[in-house]
Amino acid sequence: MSGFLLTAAETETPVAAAGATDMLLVTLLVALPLAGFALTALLGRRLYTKAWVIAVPVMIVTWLIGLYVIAQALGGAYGEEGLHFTLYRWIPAGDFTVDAGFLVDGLTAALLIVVTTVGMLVHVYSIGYMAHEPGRWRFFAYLNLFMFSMLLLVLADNFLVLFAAWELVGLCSYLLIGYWYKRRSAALAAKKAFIVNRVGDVGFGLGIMAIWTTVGTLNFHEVFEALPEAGLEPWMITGIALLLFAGAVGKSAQFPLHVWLPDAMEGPTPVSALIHAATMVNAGVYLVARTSPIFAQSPFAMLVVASIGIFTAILAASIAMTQTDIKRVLAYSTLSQLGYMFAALGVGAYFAAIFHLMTHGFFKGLLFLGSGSVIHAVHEEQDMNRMGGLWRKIPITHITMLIGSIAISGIPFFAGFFSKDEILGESFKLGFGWVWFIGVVVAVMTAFYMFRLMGKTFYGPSHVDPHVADKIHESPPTMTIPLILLAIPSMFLGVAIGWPPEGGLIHQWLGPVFHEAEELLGHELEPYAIFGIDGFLLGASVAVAIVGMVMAWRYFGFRVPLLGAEVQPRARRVEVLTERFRGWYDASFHKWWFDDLNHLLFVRIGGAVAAALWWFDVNIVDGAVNGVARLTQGTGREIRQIQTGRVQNYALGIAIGLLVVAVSYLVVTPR
Amino acid sequence: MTETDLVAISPLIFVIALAMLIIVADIIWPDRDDISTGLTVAGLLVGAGLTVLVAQSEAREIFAGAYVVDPLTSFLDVLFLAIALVTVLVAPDYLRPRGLPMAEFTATLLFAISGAMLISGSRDLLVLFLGLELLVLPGYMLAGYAKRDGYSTEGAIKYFLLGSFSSAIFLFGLALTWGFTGTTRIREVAASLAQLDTASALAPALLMGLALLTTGVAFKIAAVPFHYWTPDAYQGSPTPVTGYLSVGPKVAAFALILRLFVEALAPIKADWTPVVIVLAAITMTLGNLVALTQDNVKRMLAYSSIAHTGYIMVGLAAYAGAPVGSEAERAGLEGLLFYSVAYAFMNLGAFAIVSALQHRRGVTSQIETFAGLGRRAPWAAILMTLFLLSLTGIPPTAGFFAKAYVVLAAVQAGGWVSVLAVIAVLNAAAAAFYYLRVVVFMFMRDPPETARPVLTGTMMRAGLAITAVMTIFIGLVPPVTSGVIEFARVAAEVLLVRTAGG
Repeated sequence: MSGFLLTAAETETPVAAAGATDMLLVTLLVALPLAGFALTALLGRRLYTKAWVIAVPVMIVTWLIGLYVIAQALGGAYGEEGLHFTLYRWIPAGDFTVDAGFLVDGLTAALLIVVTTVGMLVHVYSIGYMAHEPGRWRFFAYLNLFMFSMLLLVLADNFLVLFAAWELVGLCSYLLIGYWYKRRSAALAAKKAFIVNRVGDVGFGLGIMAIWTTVGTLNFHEVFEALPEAGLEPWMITGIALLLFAGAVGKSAQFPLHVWLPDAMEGPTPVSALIHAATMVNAGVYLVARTSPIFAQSPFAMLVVASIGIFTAILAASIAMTQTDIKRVLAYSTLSQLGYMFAALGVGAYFAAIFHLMTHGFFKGLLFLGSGSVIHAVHEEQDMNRMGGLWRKIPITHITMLIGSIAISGIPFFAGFFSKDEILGESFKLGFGWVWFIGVVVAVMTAFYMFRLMGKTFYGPSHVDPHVADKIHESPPTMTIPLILLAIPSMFLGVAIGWPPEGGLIHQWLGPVFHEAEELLGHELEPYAIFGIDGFLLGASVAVAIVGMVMAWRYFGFRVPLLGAEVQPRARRVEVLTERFRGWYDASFHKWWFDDLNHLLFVRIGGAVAAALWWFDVNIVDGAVNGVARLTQGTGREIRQIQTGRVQNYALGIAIGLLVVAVSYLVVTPR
Repeated sequence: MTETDLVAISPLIFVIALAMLIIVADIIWPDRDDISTGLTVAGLLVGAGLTVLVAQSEAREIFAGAYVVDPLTSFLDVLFLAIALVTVLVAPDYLRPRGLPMAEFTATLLFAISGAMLISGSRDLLVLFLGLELLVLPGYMLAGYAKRDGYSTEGAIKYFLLGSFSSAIFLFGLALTWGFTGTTRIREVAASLAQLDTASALAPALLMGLALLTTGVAFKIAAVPFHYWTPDAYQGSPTPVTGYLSVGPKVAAFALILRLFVEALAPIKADWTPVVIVLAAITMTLGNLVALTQDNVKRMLAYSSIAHTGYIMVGLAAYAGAPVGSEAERAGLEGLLFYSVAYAFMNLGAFAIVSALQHRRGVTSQIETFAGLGRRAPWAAILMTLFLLSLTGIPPTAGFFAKAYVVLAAVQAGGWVSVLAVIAVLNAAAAAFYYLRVVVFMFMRDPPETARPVLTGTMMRAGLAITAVMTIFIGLVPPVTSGVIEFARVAAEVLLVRTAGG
């Protein structure tokens, strides 16, 4: 695919080429999944086992259209400003007009690559993964609805449409996390995700209102043009930026709203891969990147973004190191990687952030789908303590997941290496040494927990239930082919669009989008020097990645003679290590007690406050409301008595009415 | 009478001819309901086409100024034909199982519609009265159409007696107006009233005439306290007839108000404004209050239709209360017309669902009938929910925009009319209670043991489709919304230009 894009990028297409066809195709990008949702929802029940026959082909066609649109956008056919058109006037209310409009520029196209490709592959994968699930039409319908919402989100040209899509993806996430709604934990997780997101969305909503009241428009380009000239106090800009960021924190599960994402793993694995790794959780990153001209005006807001990002990165990485549920490890890893992206946005390394978003979308999608394949193989077991030695039994899953792990760990020439190195390198060079330092520590941890995961799952001694062990087999092709297809970009996407460093294709694509923010920040990057500072930074990243990997290997991998003789059995050594760092281990294992803290704050203390309010509501407020209701109902019943059913009474009533009207004309209201 | 006169009223003549044709066809092929219904449906479509065609030419007065074909006439005529079409589509599912003939039903209905169409373009007090009687007499027949059903007959007789009573009152009012101005031509009445000295009091005879006219039309639109006939007549009538009665005569009566009060009595509008404001307020409030306590859906809808009369009157009050020549005047009339369209479709739709449930004989319209409908007949339940949401005024349905327009117009008009806006909004909130109660029954109660599947014929489905599509489209599809508004604006401007220009 990357080769395809390369050729597209080289051809110079005149701007005029973006005509009605392109508008139609962009509209179809959202219309097709919506139609797929409607059809699947309507006919789903009758499709029985073939519930996917509408949803999956629709998504493949959407993907193909997406490729064309991406090629057009990145090839320059839409010009620097991108393709921008209005579908129809959504809200025509006097001064307050909002158009349902679309915008396709480099940033949108970059997101589209991930969203459509991973979306399509997850759809295909789900055919196999959900094959034994009764009522799976519901799953496919929701999945299509999600794709519609997500595409709407990245295509929106104004804050309100973006917000609507933002809420829609949240709804889909809720529906899909709670897909197995009969399982109490799934229902609770869905609720948790929804409620925690609401907290951030309140901020986002307020931010949008603040933008409307200050500049009087919600269209992205108009807002960015008007905001610097609106003569706002610096604190107002900072306020708007931080309110928007609150939304991003919720959706992208950053500290302190990160608690919902690990629980969201209660949903089916394809959902975790699509929504909670590759697409929806990136929406926050996208939002901050899209509104970079606002953030760039407020150094304080940028600092907040960077701090929250890098703090989440290290917090989540530390938790990932001790979790035993394979999906939870990946969930914390996602948090951590998203933290990287926010850190990059905060220091002003926009290209690096989006670059990492893209590579992460692919390799994390791959890792999740791979974990799904593993879970499938060991009969719905998610605990890594009951896996091990699987590498011979499910070779395709093993190889592809290995590729994903290498990519995320930052080993040279795989995708994650380029994007992560760019984030770290730019942080350092832009004067954020502390971000760089924490980032490097996170990189060690990343390599460690990923290879711990690989070791416990594939290489170490088998702890699989003996009844299950004999029946382990590789997943069907509908599941393995998406894995293979995702492994390809996990290997090559980095070099394809990120080479040469700080001058790759990704910089060409996104240059116009971030031009304004870069100018505001006034960043001057020195040319890339492989034999200077950059070479050193690169060497450092690679070195720490390898250190992390080797450490994990020594505790969880096979025995490799080169690494020295075994003194003790591996399990014993893990125990010793755990004992030595007991305090740290407990903190990590209990996720730094965030859930307990929230429980105390919101369930215990909040519950007590709520109970008090409830009492007030029941006895005072409801008393008043019910009183009014009783009064109205009583009055209603009284008035009903007038309706006697006797025609003479009615005639008399009319006559009296006439009299009253006449009196009022003649006596009450004469001139 | 010239050739152009005939062309101009050709839609009206066409509808009357169609009614007669159906009677003849019924004599030749008795018991062939399909022929009469087919003819009616086709005829109504042709009639609508004809109306649109006639509307293309310049507005003109015909029959020496007794009748006019202007955008307002066309707007109302198209609406009346649409109401008739939906009623005819919905009726067979209810009438056939009860052995009631279709042909007489459609012919009677078409005569009533021709009366409504006569009102819509009337520019003479006598023609107005003629149209009114032509409208209501078939209405009495329709109300008593199920002649072996005691309730139907009872409702029809009450409707007839009280209707005649109010017609007499109205006629007295016309007579006094004629006596005062010396003419029955609306244009001349308006001109003569415009000559009056604005400082001195109006003659008692004219005020008495005004009182009689107000009472007469208030009865026809079923405004409180002249509404007594409605619940009995609505509940007793066969359900499709109830649907028609709640919409057709009501909109026609508002057409009469537009021609009589807005056109003829505009120069003295300051005198009748307070009465309209008070009537609107008590009509909304009382209709909703009593609807709250109803357990029968038909009766509930009957009272709710009274409340809707109140909302439409808010549009009228906005016109009346606004200063002459102001923007709010036009906004009020526009709101009135837009509300009529939205109300027609959503109310017909709600009654159509009740009719569909009563396809089986013996099914009552008690609210228990709707229990568990969401599971038994999901489509019917979803559509009913749509209509009820629209009646409540929840966006983005037609009902929401209709309410929004009249309320905004009332706010624009200012003064006491803006108090009306507040009352309207409070009432809309209260109405949610009894509308949504039905929704709760449909989706959250288990169906009764005895419940049997809901049957719907093709025609019923077509009728439901039309009402549902209009209810959604008027709210959600901007071109349709603005199309209706545009048409309403042109229609409203005709009246304003004429009253301003004398």
